[in-house]
Amino acid sequence: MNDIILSAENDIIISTSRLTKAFGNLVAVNDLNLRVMRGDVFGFLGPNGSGKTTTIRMLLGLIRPTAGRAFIFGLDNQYQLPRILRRIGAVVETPVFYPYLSGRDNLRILAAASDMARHPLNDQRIEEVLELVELRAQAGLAYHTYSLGMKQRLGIAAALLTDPELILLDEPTNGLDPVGMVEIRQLIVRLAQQGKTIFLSSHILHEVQQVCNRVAILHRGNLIKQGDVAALLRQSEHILIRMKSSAEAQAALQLLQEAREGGATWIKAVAAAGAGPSEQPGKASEARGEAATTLRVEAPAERSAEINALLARRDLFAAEIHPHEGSLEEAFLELTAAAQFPGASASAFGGLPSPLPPGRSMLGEGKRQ
Amino acid sequence: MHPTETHPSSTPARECQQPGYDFVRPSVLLGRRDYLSVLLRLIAMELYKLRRRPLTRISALIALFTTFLVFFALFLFSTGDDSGQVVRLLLPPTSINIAVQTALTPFTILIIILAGSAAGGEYTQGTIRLLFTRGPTRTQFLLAKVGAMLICCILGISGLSISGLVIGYLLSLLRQVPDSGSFLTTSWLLHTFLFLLLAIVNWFIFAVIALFFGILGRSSAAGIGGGIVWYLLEPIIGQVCQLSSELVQGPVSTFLRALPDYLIGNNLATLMAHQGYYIFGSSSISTLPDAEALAVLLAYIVLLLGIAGWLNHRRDITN
Repeated sequence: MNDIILSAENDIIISTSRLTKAFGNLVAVNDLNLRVMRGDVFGFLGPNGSGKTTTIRMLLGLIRPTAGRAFIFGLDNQYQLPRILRRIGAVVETPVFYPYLSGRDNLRILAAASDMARHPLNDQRIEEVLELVELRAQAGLAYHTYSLGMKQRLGIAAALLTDPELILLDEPTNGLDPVGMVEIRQLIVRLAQQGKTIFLSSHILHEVQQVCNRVAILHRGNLIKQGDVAALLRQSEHILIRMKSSAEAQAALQLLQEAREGGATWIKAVAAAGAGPSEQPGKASEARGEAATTLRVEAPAERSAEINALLARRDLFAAEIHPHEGSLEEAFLELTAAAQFPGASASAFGGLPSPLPPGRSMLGEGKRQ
Repeated sequence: MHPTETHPSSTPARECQQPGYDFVRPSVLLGRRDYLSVLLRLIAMELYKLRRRPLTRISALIALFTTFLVFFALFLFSTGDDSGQVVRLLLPPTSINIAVQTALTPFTILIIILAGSAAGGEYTQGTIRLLFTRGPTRTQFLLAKVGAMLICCILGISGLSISGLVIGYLLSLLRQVPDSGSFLTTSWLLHTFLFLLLAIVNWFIFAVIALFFGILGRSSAAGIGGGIVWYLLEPIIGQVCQLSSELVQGPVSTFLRALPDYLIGNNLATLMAHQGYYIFGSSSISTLPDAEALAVLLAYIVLLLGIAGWLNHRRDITN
């Protein structure tokens, strides 16, 4: 029994207990209880100013918490920080290096600061990480000549330099072009395959959805959700049904509610889909008309056929059935809206898919250098 | 114990086996982790950074060129001096004094600039968070900077003194001055060593002041500005205290008279003058005992580094 408990404890890489940081009257992080397991690719989500970077800084010992504690590898970071840091590679915000040194020399400096011995093998390691982030050709150039993307890559190279067990990446794709973003995502996946634990702070939800297995969502310093990405996606999964008339829509609504009460528990909720606001008067009335004939069924997307059959048995024939798979953006919006305006939900957005294309942030433009 | 050890998670046995994985991780060799070894590695790192900075190279060149100019000016003056008094200044023991005074008078500001930007620059550039997330403690990083500046002071004073000796000697050859080595005794060598040591302390203490202000103000500007203001203001404060003490009477006057004895510059000047008496036969008007002067200087170093260390340890590293 004890072995099982020990094993579970060994698998917890990051654990925080009521971690709080206040800057004067501003509570940047409030009562944060995080848990990151070994091998996780953990997405840390939140709008700008939600406390993500403050949390990372507390984990790395750059700032002291006002209250609460943080444990990394089971060690209290208030008392055993050097031991912890030797096993971590981190990129905090836009990485900054010595401008008069080349990328390679900057890594040499960091190697010395990271207890790496002066040895050809470590020089080889520097070349390896430069190659890994595709910066080897420019490694001899002074850092001040680097573009934002190159600086970001050098930051990632620095984080990987000591081959750490835990990698903390604070918005690592900031400033990268789309190709660079894809490469960094692939790199994260490869590192995860090696068994590394990755803590990825990002406001690009599409990116997080692609690479992370677990997430935590922070809003105004409060943790509003922590769990599996898959479970979170299931939460925002739904089916949109458009009937030919509002009378049919009413009948379908009643039927589906009866089915739900009668044992079809996979139907979590049924409601008329509200229309989103429109700036054009003509389109607004059109949208209202469409909303009156459209139902939103909170049910797994793969149940669309069963719903169709259910309606058809009562001679209700849908003009359109649109199974909608969940996205992290929707889940995020739903959760943050609920945190900001209790009682509100994604239906406030008309139950319609995200208006932004995949990959585009819904949390603002992010930090720019 | 072997000086290096392999990172536990980096043994070749753990090399990646996944298909499509396009790089093979090498082992990462870690150095000794004891406090002193880490500190020495960090000092080497700081020295490397200093060596690669254009500011350091330019400062060194300016200092060498100025030393050459001073001795060359003496050489030019000596051509119009038939008594041979001026030309003797190009030779030891006087040439050492000239080289050291040249190093101390204008170039203390250069060491302040170097130290201030070395400490404050980490905050100005934002590299402080890069360093503080690598493993060594904040105190080790501070001590590494102090160690690196001490080595800079040793190299700087030694280099400028030797340069002065060599330049002076070479220029004196052009005037064919008879070289007298009669001053060269064991006692002279010892006092010259102490004199150079005090010159190093002179630079070092102002480097510590610049480090302190750089950390206090979290910027190069604070480090450089604070150090230079201290350097320039201290003699003025000493003079003002001296003059004011004559205008008032009683305990205030006593206090004002005693205050200059606790200023860095006065204590350094006292110590160097005492050694100068043995080396160059110069007179010393200061009655301050050497031990007291040393204690005052040591107190300054301990106090400034203590506060800097405390700030460094306690402070949050934000933007």
